[in-house]
Amino acid sequence: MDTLAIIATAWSDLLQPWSMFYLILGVVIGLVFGVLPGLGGTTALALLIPFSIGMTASDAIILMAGVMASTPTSGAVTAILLNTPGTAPNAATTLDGYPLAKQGKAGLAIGAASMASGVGGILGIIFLIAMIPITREIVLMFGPPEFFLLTILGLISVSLSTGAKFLKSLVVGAFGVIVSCVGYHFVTGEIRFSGGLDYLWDGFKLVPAMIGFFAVSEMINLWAKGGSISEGGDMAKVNLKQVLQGCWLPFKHWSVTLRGSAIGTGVGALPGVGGTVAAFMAYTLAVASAKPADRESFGQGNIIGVIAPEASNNAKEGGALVPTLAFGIPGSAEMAVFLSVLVLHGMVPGPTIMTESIDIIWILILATVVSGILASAITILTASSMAKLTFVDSKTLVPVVLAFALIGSYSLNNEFLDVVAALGFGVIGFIFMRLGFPRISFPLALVLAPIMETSYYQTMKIGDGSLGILFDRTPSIVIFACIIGCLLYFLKGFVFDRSVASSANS
Amino acid sequence: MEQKSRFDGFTITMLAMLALAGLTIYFGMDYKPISRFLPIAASILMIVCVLWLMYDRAKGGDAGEKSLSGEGDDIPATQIWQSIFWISIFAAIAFFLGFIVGSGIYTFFSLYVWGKRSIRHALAISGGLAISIYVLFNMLLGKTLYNGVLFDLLMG
Repeated sequence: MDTLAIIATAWSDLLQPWSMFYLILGVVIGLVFGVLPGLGGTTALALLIPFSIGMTASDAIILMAGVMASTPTSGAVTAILLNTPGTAPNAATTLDGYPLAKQGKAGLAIGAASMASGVGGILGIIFLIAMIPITREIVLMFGPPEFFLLTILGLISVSLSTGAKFLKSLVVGAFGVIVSCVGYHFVTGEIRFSGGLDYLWDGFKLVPAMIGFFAVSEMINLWAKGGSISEGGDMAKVNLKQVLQGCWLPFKHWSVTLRGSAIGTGVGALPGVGGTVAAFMAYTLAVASAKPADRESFGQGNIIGVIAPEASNNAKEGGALVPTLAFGIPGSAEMAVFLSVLVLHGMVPGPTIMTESIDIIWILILATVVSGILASAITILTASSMAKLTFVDSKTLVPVVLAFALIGSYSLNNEFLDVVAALGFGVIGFIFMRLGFPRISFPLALVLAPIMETSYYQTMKIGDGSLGILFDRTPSIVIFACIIGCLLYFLKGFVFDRSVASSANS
Repeated sequence: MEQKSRFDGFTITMLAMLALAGLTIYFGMDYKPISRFLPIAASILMIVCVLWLMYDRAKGGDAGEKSLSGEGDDIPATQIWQSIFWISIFAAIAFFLGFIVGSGIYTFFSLYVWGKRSIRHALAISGGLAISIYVLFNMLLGKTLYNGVLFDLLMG
């Protein structure tokens, strides 16, 4: 079947009533979770996994695409109105969005942010489409040694993206790897670290672990904090006329939108770097490329300071899907959860997905585009009401989310110990969160460790037990050089910053 | 520079991580080389990072500045541990109540209305669970469903 026929089939699948229902449901859930600071796309996806089990693969992918495409869009609303970013990457939007709201231009900022998000999302997906034929060729160059090194690079680069928390992130990553080792070993048949519990023979299940680590831990935090997510803030009125005027601005400043989208796509395609880095990079570049006279207006309510990070934030989704689909290496916690959805529905990310499940890939692409447009439209129309969600009291929010979290853990296998596991991982996730340990490495380690172990075994087989094979092929040498580069970058920062700081103190 | 030697949440967590890594190595040595490689490598990495973090903190670095009693806010540690305790207890009770209520709903409907489908089982239990958790949380906060949230909803 040629590509056009596949696209036509995917489009007609998407237009089926149930598919459209799941798409709209995904967008609404994504918007709600995006607008609530602390919850975000990862939590939403983790909570939805168990409910997706009974669906067809395409419906599940459509639901997830709806969530992923809409979460970053609504996160901008609270960033602009309440100075509280809904998701971490929206933090860059607060810099100019909130000052604009204080000047009575909240509608303008929300309109511009929503439209920039929509355009950025579409540009990111165009990048993904352009990459499909190329990635197939690249992936076929990769063998077990490359995949083994790539998993190590994924974990290290994720940790590196946390900046000063590199070591803490590695601790969480190592914890995730140890957790993933529990249970039956696929080659030797040994049952590892089960402690005599039959439940652990299959290891810790991905879904309860994810739900616990993200959703339950956030609920414990909210429970301990009490009150609502937003305690106060200026609830600026949103004028619809202003919003519509704002929608035009990303097109007026098209170079800013394009540049932001390009940064988002490029950074999103790098495993582990994430949307926050992309958004701040886009913002910084927007400031740097502004006329000297205009630079002082950034931070005081410049609309370009809203457009650049929002375009970048949504464009990263298309970029992040490239390593996730092509290599099975998720670029972020959200993609790690999405990867588990693919696996649960029988799709194996990597070289085969581009050939065997290309129809699903096109459904994903189209669903992401439609969801992005839908999310922008809903946000434009309902921004003011959305912001009110952050004033919901914890005594309402916690039990509702917790109920979904626990039943989600249970319903996957009708296993009560999965609920206990989710609660246990919730407590561990909460402790890590409170101590300032970045949690992003945990899901990545959980997903990457089995790939790492499989490719290590295959590498040893190919190399007759010698690790020399890791340095025999060009792709593996390049990846190895990247790993060394990441470690040197950390050590340089660690040693250099310390010596500068100590000399400054003395 | 001020020496930090508090036996607080950070130190306890780091010691727990060291213990986990130690136990992983201890038990991992029993397995065949191919199955012990990854857990032992991860444990060694964990030990190195944890010791580095603890050393950094002892030297006055910012690695372990934050304790369980607050990361930029002032929630007392006791309140946090109480929250973890109560959320676990109430979630467990609510889950069993929800299971009983939901199973009752499921049994009734599967006998008289539905066919036997596991997703409906899950949905029925989730309904029961959601109600149970909601009621219990409201009771925990000193409010009943009647004079608490439901009343607020009804009376605006």
